[in-house]
Amino acid sequence: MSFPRTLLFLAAIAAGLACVGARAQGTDLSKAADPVPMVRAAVDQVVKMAFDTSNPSQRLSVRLRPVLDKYFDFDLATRFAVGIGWRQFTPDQRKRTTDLFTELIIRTYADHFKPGDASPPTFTYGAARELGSADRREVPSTLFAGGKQYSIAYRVDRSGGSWKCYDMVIEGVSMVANYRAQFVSLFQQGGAEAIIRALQKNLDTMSAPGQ
Amino acid sequence: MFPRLTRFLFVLALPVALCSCASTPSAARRSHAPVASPEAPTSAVASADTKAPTSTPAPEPAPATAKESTAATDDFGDADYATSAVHAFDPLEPVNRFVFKFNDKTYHYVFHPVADTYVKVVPHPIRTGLSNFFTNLGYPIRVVNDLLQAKFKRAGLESGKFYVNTIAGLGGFIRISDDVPSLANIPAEDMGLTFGVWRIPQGPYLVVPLLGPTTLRDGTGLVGDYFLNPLNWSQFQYRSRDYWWWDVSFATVDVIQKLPDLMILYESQKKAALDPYIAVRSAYLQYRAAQVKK
Repeated sequence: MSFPRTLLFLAAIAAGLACVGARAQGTDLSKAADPVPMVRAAVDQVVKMAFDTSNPSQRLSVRLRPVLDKYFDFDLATRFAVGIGWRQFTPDQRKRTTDLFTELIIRTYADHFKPGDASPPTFTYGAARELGSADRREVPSTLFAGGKQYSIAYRVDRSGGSWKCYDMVIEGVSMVANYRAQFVSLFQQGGAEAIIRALQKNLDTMSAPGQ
Repeated sequence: MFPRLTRFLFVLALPVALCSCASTPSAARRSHAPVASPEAPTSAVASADTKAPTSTPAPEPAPATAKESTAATDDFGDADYATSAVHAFDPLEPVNRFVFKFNDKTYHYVFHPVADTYVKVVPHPIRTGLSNFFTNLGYPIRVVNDLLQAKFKRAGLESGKFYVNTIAGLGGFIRISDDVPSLANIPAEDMGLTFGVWRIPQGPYLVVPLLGPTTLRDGTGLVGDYFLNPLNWSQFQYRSRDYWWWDVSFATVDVIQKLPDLMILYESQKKAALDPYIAVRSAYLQYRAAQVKK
């Protein structure tokens, strides 16, 4: 597998598992004042899981799902991706949108990875900076793989009491911002149901044989 | 020489002036209030059953509860996400979408097979060497734009990187500079980024046939980069007319060696996208905005 694919997958999953490593080590780093140790531990755990070939029959997206549900704030990610139009969503629409968006993110990036054909990358981390409030930070990092390096920033939020990741920014491109651009257009065309239909259609396409 | 220089400067100055005059609607003027689309989008998402928003029954708003009224739940991340990359200035969207579809077909039926064949036929060390060589050859583009942006230290590092790789790296095929921490990751500058540093607005978003996404500002920058690219210098010499095939060969190899990574990035954006056109547009604009800040 080429390194661009590895990069995209690892960066996406690493962002989603911002608290995984903390949990595995028995230390609740998610409640610490500084989110960097939590992110570092989580990324190390994700990389280890991603390169674990002991259970090739089970899809990585399936293995990661329970952990991601626990440590990634998909509610916040979805609300930010939709934007102010979220106010016009009914509770049922909100739930359906969040569920579909969650599934899309996990499957999109997990399915890119083919275990065993790349050596694990290394990461370095910088100091977290505030994003408008003390409960929202951005943790910069650098991924080294294949002789190249890429900047990846993890955006984490602590408004729920513990640090959880809700976005990742790879070389300046934010996942949430990218989807907001698409959701805004869809919402303007047909409201909440247009977004839900688009998400479902994309997932159905990904599930089609041969995909 | 001087008439050519004059034409070169005119070609650069006119679009730059247009960019400066172009008004970019601010994010604040755009809202999520549904408005009729100017054109029926031809993206994979648009379908016959999408209605003009005015004919769609407005859903019942979510019932207000004490929890819903908190500041946290009223925070929609606009501080970080209501940006020009999200609300892009794209007055030519219908045309751009048409060209995007054309490019998509071309990438699928032409560029992808070429890239796949290149990867299968050419061993990885040679592919890496070619990539390093052509990247090294782009030194004049990077160093001139470093100087235009008054980034003199970076220009010095860029020059050091060029000399190290050219002399110790067999003409640039081996990237010796990766082993030198200060030379390992120098942000690459180009004329589009220089215009960005000079606070020239992006201007309208454009999709160019075969080349893909750009803006009026960045597209103009490509013209400047063309003249700075050593691969094109021979065109300005009389005797080069006898060696046009050499120029074409070099340029062809340069394009082909870039294709695999470009196609991977394009497909990764497209696969995860609900509207590939907007996904690519947003990613491009965000990426370029981040590059300007480096």
